[in-house]
Amino acid sequence: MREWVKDAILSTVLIIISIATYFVSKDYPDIASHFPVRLALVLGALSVGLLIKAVFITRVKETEKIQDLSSLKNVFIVVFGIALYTISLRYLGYLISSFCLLLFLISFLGFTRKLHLIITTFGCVMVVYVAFKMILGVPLPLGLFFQG
Amino acid sequence: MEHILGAFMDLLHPSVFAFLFFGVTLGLVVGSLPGMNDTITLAVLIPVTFSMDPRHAFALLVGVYCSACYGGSIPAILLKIPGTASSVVTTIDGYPMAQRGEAGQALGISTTSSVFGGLMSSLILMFLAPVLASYALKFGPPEYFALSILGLSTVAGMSGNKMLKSLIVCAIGLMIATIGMSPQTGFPRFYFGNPYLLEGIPFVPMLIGLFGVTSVLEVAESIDSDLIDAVKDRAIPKIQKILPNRQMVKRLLPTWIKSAGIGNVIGVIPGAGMIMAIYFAYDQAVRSNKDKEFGTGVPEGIAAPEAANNAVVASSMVPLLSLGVPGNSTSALFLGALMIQGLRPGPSLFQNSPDIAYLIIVGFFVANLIMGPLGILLGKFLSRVIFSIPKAVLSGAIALLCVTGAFAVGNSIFNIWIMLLFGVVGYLFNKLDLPHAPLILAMILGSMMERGLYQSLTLSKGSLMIFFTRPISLVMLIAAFLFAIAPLVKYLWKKIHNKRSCTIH
Repeated sequence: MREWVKDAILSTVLIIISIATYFVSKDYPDIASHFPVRLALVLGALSVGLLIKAVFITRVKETEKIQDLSSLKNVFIVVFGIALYTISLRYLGYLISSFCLLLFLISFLGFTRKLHLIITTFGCVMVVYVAFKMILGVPLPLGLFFQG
Repeated sequence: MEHILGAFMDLLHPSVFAFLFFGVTLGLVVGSLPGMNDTITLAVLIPVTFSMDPRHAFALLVGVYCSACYGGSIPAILLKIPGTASSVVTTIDGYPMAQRGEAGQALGISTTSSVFGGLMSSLILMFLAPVLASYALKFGPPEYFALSILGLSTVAGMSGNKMLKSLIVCAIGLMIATIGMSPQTGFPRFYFGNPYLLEGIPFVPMLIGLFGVTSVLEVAESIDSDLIDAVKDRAIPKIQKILPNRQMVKRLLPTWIKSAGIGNVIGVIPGAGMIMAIYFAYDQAVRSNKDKEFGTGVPEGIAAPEAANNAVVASSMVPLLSLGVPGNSTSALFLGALMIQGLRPGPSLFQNSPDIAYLIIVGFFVANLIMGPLGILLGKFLSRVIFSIPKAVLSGAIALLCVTGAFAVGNSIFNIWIMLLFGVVGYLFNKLDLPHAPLILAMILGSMMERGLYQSLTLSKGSLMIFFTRPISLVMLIAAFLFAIAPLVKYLWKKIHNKRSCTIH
C-alpha cells in the first residue's frame, strides 16, 4: 500500500471519528461538553489537513514505496489468540490459560523443539506465577475449576 | 546540620541499612516488571509497616520508591517495554542503542543518569525544602493550565518533520483523556455504559499494550522460523563496559544538570507528575543537541529522561514533608505511611519528629548510592539472560508478562482488553508512521489542562486575562509559544537562507 493511500485512509477515519465525537459530546451538559467538542473540531481540522497533504503533496512526491500486507495474517492470529486467552481466564483460571497461551505463542512464533517447548512454557508460567502471586500478592484468577 | 548527621548515623545502623538495601532491591525488581511499579508496591507494603519500627518502615519505603523508577529503564532498554510509566521516553533511544550491540553502555548511562538525578534531588531536598515548597504554593489553576500547555508544546520540539501527525496524535490523546467523569461536573463521558471506563482509560495497561504487545505483534509479522529458532546464529552482544568513561561523563554532564534541574522544579509542584518532567527534559536535550539524531540511540536520549525521573522522586517529597501536601500519588502513600506511624507531615514533622523527617530525606541520598551498583549488576544479569533466549520464547514470555502485569494493575480482566486494544493501536501507529510520545503526554496532561482551564475561568468569571495577569502563568505561556513556533521559524529561516544562497550563485 502506498504511503499517500495510508495517510488518506487514516485522515478519513479520523474525520469520521471527529464528526462522531462532536455529535455525541454536543449532547452532554454544558461544561462537560466544551472540551470534547473543541477537541473534535481541532482533530477534524488536522485530519482534513492530513488528507490534503496526502492527496496533493505526498502523492505527487512519492517514489515507489509499497508495503506488503500479507504478513498481517500472523498479526491477526496473535491478536485473536490473546483475545481468546482473556475470555478463557475467567473459566480456566490463570495457570491453564497462560500455559495454553504461551504454548501457542512460542510455537506459532517459530520455536519448534517439542520437548523444550513444553519445559520452557511450564517454566515461564511458573516463574511469572510465583513472582506475581506468591511474592507480590496479586490475586490471579482461579477459574471455575479451582474456585472453592 | 546535626539532624542530617544524626540521620546518617541512623541509616548506618545494620538493621535500618538492611531494610533500605532490601527496599532498593525490591524496587529494582518490581520496577523492571511491566505492570508493577512503585505505587502498587508501596500500597502493598504500607499496611505491613504498621507494626514496624518507623526507621525500618521508612528506610524500606524510601528504598522502593527510589529504585522502582530506575528499575523500569532496564526492560525499556533491553526489550522496548517500559517497566514503569517513568521509563517510556527511555525506550526511544535506549532500545535502538541496545539493538546496535551497546546494551551495556545504554544500561550504564541509564544507571549513572538516574543516580546523578537522584543525588542532586536529594541534596536539594536536604537543604532547600522550605524554599521550594513556598514556590510550589504559588501554583493555582491558571498555572496548572499554563504548565500543561507548556508540556504539550514539547510535542513540537520532539516531532521533527512529523509535525502534523504529532499534532493529530496529541489531539487523539487529549480526546482519550476526556473518557470518564468530567473533572468539573462528574458527568460520565464516552463510557458507553461500561462502568470500568468511568475513571478513564487505565494508564499502565495502555502503556503495556502500546509497547509490549506492539513488539510481540511486530515479531509475529516478521515470522521466519529459520531465523527465530537459531540461537547459535543470533549474535549475543558482549556486555563488557557498562560504566560510562570520562569522555562520556563530560559529554552527558550538561544534560544531567539540566534534566535533574527540570525534574526538581517540576517534581516539587503537586500534581504535575513525573511524565511531564521526563518529556520536558527529553525535549530540552533534543533542542540542545540539534546535530544529533534522537531516536537512533543517542546517549543524551537516555540520560535526559533518567536523570529527570529520579530527580522527581525526592523533589516530590518536598511539598509533603514541608507542607503536608503530597506531590504525586506515590508521595500520597507516604502520607498514609506517616499517619499509620502516628506522625503528621508538614512543618510540625520537622519540629516534633526531626529524626524521621531527616531519615526520609537522607534515605533518598543513600538509596541512590546503593541503587547504582545494584542496578548495574541486575542490568548485566538480565541482559545476558535476555540476549541468549530465542526470539520466539522471549516474545512469548513478554506477552505473558504483559497480560499478567496488565491484570495486576487493578485485578481486572478489563485491563487486559485495554492492553490488547492499545497493542493493536500501537502496531497501527507504527505502520502509519504516527509517533507514540504525544499520545502518552496528551493523555496525562488532558485532565490537568481541562481542570485548570475551567477552574481558572470560574475564578475569573469567564475572563481569559487571568492566564496573562499572573506572572508564572504568563511566563509559561510565552515559553510554550516560543517552543511551539521554534520549528516553524527554523524551517522558514532555512528556506530563506537557501533561497538567498541560490540567488547569489
